[in-house]
Amino acid sequence: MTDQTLNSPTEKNGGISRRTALKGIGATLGATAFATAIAPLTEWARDLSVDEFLQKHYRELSPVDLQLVLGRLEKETKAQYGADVTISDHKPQPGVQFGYALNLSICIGCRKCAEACHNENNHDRATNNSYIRVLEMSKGSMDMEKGTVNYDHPVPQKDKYYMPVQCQQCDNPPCVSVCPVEATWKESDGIVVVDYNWCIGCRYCEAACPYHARRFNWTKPQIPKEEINPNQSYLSNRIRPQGVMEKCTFCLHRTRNGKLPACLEACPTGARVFGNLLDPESEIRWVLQNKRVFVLKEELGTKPRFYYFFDK
Amino acid sequence: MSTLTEAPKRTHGVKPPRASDHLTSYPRFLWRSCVAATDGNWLFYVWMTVLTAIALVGTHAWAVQVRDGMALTNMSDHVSWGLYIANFTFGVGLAAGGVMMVIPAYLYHDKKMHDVVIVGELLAIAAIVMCLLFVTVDLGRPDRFWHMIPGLGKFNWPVSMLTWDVIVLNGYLVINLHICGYLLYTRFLGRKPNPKWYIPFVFLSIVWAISIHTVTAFLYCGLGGRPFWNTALLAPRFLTSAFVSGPAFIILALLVIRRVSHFHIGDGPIKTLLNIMRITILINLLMLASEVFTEFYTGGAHTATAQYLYFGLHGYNALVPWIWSSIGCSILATLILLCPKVTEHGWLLALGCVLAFIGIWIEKGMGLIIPAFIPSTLHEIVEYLPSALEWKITAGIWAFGLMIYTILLKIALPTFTGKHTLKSELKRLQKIV
Amino acid sequence: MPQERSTEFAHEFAFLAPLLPSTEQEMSTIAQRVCSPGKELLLICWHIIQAVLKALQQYFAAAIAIAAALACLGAVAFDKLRKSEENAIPANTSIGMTNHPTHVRQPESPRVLTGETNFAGKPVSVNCSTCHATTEPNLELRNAADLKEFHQGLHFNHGNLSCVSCHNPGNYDTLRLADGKQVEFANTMQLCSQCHGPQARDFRHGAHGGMTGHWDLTKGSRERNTCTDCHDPHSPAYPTVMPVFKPKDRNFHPPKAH
Repeated sequence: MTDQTLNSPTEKNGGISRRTALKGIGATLGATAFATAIAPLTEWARDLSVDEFLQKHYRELSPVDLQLVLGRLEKETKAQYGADVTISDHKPQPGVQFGYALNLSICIGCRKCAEACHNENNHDRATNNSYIRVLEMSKGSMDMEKGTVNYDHPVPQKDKYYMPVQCQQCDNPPCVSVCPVEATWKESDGIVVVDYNWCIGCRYCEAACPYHARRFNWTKPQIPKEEINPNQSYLSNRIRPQGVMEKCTFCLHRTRNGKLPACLEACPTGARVFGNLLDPESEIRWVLQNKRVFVLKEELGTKPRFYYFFDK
Repeated sequence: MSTLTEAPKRTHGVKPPRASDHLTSYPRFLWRSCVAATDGNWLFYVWMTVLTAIALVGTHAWAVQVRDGMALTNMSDHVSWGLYIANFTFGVGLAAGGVMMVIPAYLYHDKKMHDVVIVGELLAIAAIVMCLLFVTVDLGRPDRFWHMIPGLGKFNWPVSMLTWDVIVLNGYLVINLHICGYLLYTRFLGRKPNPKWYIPFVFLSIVWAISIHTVTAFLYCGLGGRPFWNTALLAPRFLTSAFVSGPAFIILALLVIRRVSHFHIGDGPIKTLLNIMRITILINLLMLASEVFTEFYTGGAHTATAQYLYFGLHGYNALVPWIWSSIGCSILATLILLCPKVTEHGWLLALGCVLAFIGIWIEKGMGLIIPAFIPSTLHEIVEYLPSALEWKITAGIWAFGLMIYTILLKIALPTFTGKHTLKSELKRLQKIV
Repeated sequence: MPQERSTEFAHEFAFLAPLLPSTEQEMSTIAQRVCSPGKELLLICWHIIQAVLKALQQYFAAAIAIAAALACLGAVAFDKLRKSEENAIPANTSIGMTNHPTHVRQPESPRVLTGETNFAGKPVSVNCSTCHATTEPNLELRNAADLKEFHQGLHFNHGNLSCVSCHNPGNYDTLRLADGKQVEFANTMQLCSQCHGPQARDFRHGAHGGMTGHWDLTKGSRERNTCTDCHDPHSPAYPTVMPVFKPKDRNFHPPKAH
């Protein structure tokens, strides 16, 4: 089949042969078909501004650039969701290292924390997304395999205990190491954050996280205008774009202002203890010093900042 | 074609051409290649049309996926990598497997292998292109691809294994493009290739081939949170299976070439590849057995994934048929390939290779990438089977890969066997004039 | 000196700060646990300094005495300096800042339903003392069912207590401690703490009971629940509730029956 072109009689005539003409027609048809095939891309690109496309990494934005970006994001939220929101940039405070502890003896598994997270962090409504997953565990076992998350009976059950799991804000975070573009990093106050405008959506971090703490935006989050929490932060609860990773930030838009995280406020039993690890007078320090705390999957060497303990 | 009429006459001589000659002869080589790539009989056109159609369907599916989000796939926060990354992993193996022709040809100076070694090198090129496409379609934000370009974006090297993979894959692509391009071009000029310009790269490509699959294994086995991947055996297993699937595909390609073209493909290279497969397929089974033994004899929480994969767990068993098909294919392929008279029956050899290929494809994908996510890190069980859209995109990329491979072979074979040379080109042009 | 080292350590390994050792021995165990070669090197340096100090102590006791005297003087000055430094740098501790208050919610004194309705059809409730000012207390009573009137719906499940273990027979609008001291209803927590020491201690340290507001009291106040917000004093076990917000992830299906 390959050497016939050499002897092809049509080419001897010079000019355009039938075969060449057919090739041309084929190529034109192919190009047209290709253009039609990628048509959805042009529809998608309509929502994508040049500024967004060329935006620099968060840590390389000058203060002026950052203000422009925040303004642009506010406008986009207004245009796409119809809500007036304020997107700020909350910086870590000097002398603060956040820590979180959870009392497994007190937690009743009501999932109020997960719900509060959902509302506070502007999660997609349809999927009940939340950064917290509450496991119903069997007493006498720490084996998560015996746990379930979709229990639907009055709680607490006598022979069960309840273990909410969220981002452990590891000091040795595997998710940060694996990111190919440095779109996720650990801030100076210990919170692991994501630049939603830099993430390429490869989901390597989601595969690397041992705590199921990361979530992907499989689609554009849908939230009714009136349910949107307008107090937003760039690295935290602003509505995430489609196709990027997101995660728990210990509600940095609240906690960096001195407020308690939303999941703690929602907890009816006070199972959650939050505070500054560097402050010897803080509640979290008291818990670490006086309770026998443990961390999840300690053997993996991730050094979590999220501690669990039992009273009895 | 009319542009070529004012061809310089001096290239007729046997004198080595000067550097400036390449300015005219290289474009001619490229043009000749384009012509060769698009000419063929009706079978060729049907084949290419079908592949183009599939590739277009895949392209459209991908465009829709980018627009509407990856919710259209069946991946979830629990099983966050699916068919794309599975095929990517397999593709890397295929690319690395191509080197199994290079080793006997260059390291052991197997003369017969020398004539067809390009078939393996071109496979590496096509396979790497497929791999890059598979990674691209897996990205949630392909528009931010530039974030990964060193200098422009932020390249998290050397910490992230994915950046290593980007380097080794692209490096392998460049090395193979250079080797194939150089060899073909010198053949086209009718000269003997200068070993200085390609032998070092050939040896580099051998080492590099091993590195691409090792680094790809390191992507997975470095993750402490995924016990199913967290095994030191992963990289050796990847390599072994690569050296099954690569040669299997090349044997099939050689058999097809023998059937549909006039090129003479001797039994020698096929036998060499078969002998390689006979060993690697056995080692691969041995490694599979030792993994299975370690998992099940030890027991405990880390066995949950293996339990799910091989037998189903708590009533979930979506992957069970896949893995047993894979094992079945592999064992059957082993039996066929080990049969001493397999080379005498082309169809039996082809069947063995097809079975081995399918066996490894399932093992690397549905048998390795997917199950590591089930149960999840919090031991929740969410199952995964690819959605129609994922199948479309995957088929599209495979079709595109096959198109590239077909085109490359159509350029390479006539050039390599001395049918397309500058001389014949000039002669033909003279006739036209 | 060890004190200084441990503070340094605290800064570097903030996550270990709470577990910080006070003795040198403990320190070396921890160093082994966390351990980078850099840390080990530091530790060796520390041992050398120690040895040198020991030698000095043995052979130049007099010199040490003089040095000590000087050190005392220096320490006073240093202390003053350091205090000003502490105010300047560190960690958001509350030193030198005005803290916002923490409000603990206070229960009101309870009123008892009479079972009667008024002209508007609303239930009538009265203060405890309305009846109990004249009724002689029955110290034997342990159960609402034993009462002739009122309190009939009261479900009592609180150990072996009797009514007057907590209610003050001298003044039913107040409560009383085990030692007989009167406590206002607003200070219920004081009463509960008598028996529930661990819970009271945890509460005091922010590790028991719901709260809202600020973790950083220099930035704002905090609201805290009191015991009876969650625990019915007559039946204090935390009630069971229906969980909210069931997961609805993509592709997430409830497990099949085993």
